Amino acid sequence: MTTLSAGSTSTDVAGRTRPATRWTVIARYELMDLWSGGKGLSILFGFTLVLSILAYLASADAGINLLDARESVGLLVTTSIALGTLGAMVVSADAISGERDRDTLESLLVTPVPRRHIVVGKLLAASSVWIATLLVALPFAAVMAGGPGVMSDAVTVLVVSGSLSAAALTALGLAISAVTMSNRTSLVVSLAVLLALAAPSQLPAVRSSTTVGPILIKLNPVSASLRLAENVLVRQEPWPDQLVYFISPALAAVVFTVVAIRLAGRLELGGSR
Amino acid sequence: MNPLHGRIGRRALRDTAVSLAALGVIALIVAVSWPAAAATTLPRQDATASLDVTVAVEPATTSVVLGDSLDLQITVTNSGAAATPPLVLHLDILDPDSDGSVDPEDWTTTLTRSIAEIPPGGSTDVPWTVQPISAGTFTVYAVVVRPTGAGLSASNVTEVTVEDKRSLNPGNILPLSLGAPVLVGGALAVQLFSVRRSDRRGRKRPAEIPVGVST
Amino acid sequence: MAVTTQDLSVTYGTVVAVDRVSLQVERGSICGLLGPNGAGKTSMIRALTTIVPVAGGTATIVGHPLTDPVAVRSSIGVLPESNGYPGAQTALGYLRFYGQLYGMEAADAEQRALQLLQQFGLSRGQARISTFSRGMRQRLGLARALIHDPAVLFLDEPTLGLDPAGKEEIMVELARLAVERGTTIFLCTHLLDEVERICDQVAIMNHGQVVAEGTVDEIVDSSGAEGFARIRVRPEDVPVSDEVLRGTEEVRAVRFDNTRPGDLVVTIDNDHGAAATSLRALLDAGVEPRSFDFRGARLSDAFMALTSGRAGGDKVTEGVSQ
Repeated sequence: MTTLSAGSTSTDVAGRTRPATRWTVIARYELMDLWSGGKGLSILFGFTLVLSILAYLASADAGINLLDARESVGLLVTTSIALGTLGAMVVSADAISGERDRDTLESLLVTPVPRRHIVVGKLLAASSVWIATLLVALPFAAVMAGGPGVMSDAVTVLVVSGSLSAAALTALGLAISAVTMSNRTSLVVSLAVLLALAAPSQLPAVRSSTTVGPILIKLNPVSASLRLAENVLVRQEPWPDQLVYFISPALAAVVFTVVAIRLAGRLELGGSR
Repeated sequence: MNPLHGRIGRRALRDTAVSLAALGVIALIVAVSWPAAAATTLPRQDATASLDVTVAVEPATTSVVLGDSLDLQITVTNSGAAATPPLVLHLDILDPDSDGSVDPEDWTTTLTRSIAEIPPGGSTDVPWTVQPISAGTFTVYAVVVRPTGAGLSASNVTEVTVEDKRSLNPGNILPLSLGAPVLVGGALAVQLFSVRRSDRRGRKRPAEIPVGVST
Repeated sequence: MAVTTQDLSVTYGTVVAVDRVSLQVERGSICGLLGPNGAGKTSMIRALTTIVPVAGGTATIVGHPLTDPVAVRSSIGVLPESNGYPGAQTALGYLRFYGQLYGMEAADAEQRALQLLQQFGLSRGQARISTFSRGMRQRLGLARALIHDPAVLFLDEPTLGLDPAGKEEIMVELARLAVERGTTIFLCTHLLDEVERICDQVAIMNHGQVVAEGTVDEIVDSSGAEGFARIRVRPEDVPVSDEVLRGTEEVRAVRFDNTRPGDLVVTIDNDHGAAATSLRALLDAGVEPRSFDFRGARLSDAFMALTSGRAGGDKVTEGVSQ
């Protein structure tokens, strides 16, 4: 067996390479825990079920021209983004506060792994939920699109705009999880924040407003993504005019990720003390 | 959140747009026609008199498959001795067998159209396309009214039979809508089953032997 | 020295949990950290393991100051009191993960994990942790703490919830680690008899301070704790025995056991000489004791004496885990 001194890298006669960086170790472990423990597949199953029902009903309406193909795909894409980001956020909101509740955080904090590596690893694992829901949504979009033009728009909106929103909300959930002392609080706060971001932009008063409404929608990363999907897929507005709707999701993704990583440095046991 | 933006919002917008457009057209017609009307040699029908126009909707009976469009032809004929003033044509749809009402806006984007003056004996054809949204037998009729003052003429009724031929597999979505949840659900079931089986095996053969083996 | 603290303090807001504690633990020794609930033991351990920030003072762990937390964490293994486990993981996967966190390659971590699983009697590493008993989980936690062969091991109530056999196994293993591998063990526990058996050094905390430190014998001797003798005489000899014993200088108190006529419980100085003097006094008075059972002062007695103004107000009884 190789003899180690504390904290050193391991080398043996064969001169093997440095061990994997810690955040990859954590990401792999969290991924395995998420997807082999049943939690990830449960979330994915719920998502798939909702999407399947929605896709069938929308297609049925499209079949009798209650909705046209773009409207039905738009509905599918916005629902996929909304539910997929919600799923990722639920997982990330559990990432740190859940460990506190389950008394597994202290064991992790006494290892020499930098705190930010812990956060980055968990962030990546939580993001896998969005990726999985994206992979489920893409075939639906392809079938419902009815043509390469609509399909490429749908795929682009899902992959780019959806991923930015998911990255933002996943990081936000992790940041909330890092500072809240109980898992229940973390989940409630995360869902409340998501609701606060998504709901106002759906109000008719905001949507029909010509002054505050458009600004609010563009500033809000969730509503910006949903509006982008609507503009491109339903209203067939040109892509260059929609670039402004990428700004707040991209900015939110960067800012919330930085905040989550910075908060990692202040990880503490909290209530279990 | 409500991704179903279409019907209510669209209807509200269309309502507003149609009303504004209708008023605008009427105003324009009145504005344009006013001086012209003073100079016209054509006598006008008295605003207070009933309308001497007949309205006919064709075909008298028809059938269509749910989801398809239906083309109607509405003919407004001036049977009076004087030219008609600008008129408003309105289409309505009702389900005579049902207690509930049919919203005509579900079938057509516009419910009213303006008709310019019709000289005596003249007629105007108005094509109108509707798209039924539910199956059943419906009555369609049109009325012509003056924008101001009394006067209304109603058309014959057209019986429209809408057949419901919805597919069980609209847009070929059924295989995916069934297959995707089955696939994911199946994977989840397999995972849970294998975990339980592994746990049962673990309980039968405890993962523990007496300590005492030194390194 | 493996562990050295100098005026170490830990505060939570206005509450002083550890109050200027100075301590030294030699390498390869087992140090027992005792104290009533709320004395500051867990806070002390969490400060030394860099979990909670230090409000004052300094400490080094095998030469690494607490200001270099990464170096400290690389040198220590920790089994916290409240230790949860991911139920969906296998024991092998769990240990392999922690091995990699301590910088081991996956293959090395796996090999080490298998070795530890066998060492601690957890033969089926592929079993999910959710199927493990309490004792198995504790052993798994200990294996995890040892995955990287640390220089110092911090154990907070490692035998909590274990049956007597399980406790014995853990204690034997700890003693072996200290002797064979030179691992320094910092043991926080309520099991005073276990501490008496295996600890080279003991520190007793109360109200955030160390009230006694040294070997078990040193603490017992310095605490002023007393020995006890249970003497059984014939009921008719009880009055004479009482008078004789009360007149003996080394005897501090005599009381009768009402449930057993003829039994006297005598508090005497903590040494065998005092016991012999008491017995001789009885014999000289013509009393023939049926039995004479002397028990010298033990760590539990010293603990009670030193922590009589304890923080938590809970009674700590020898041999009973909290």
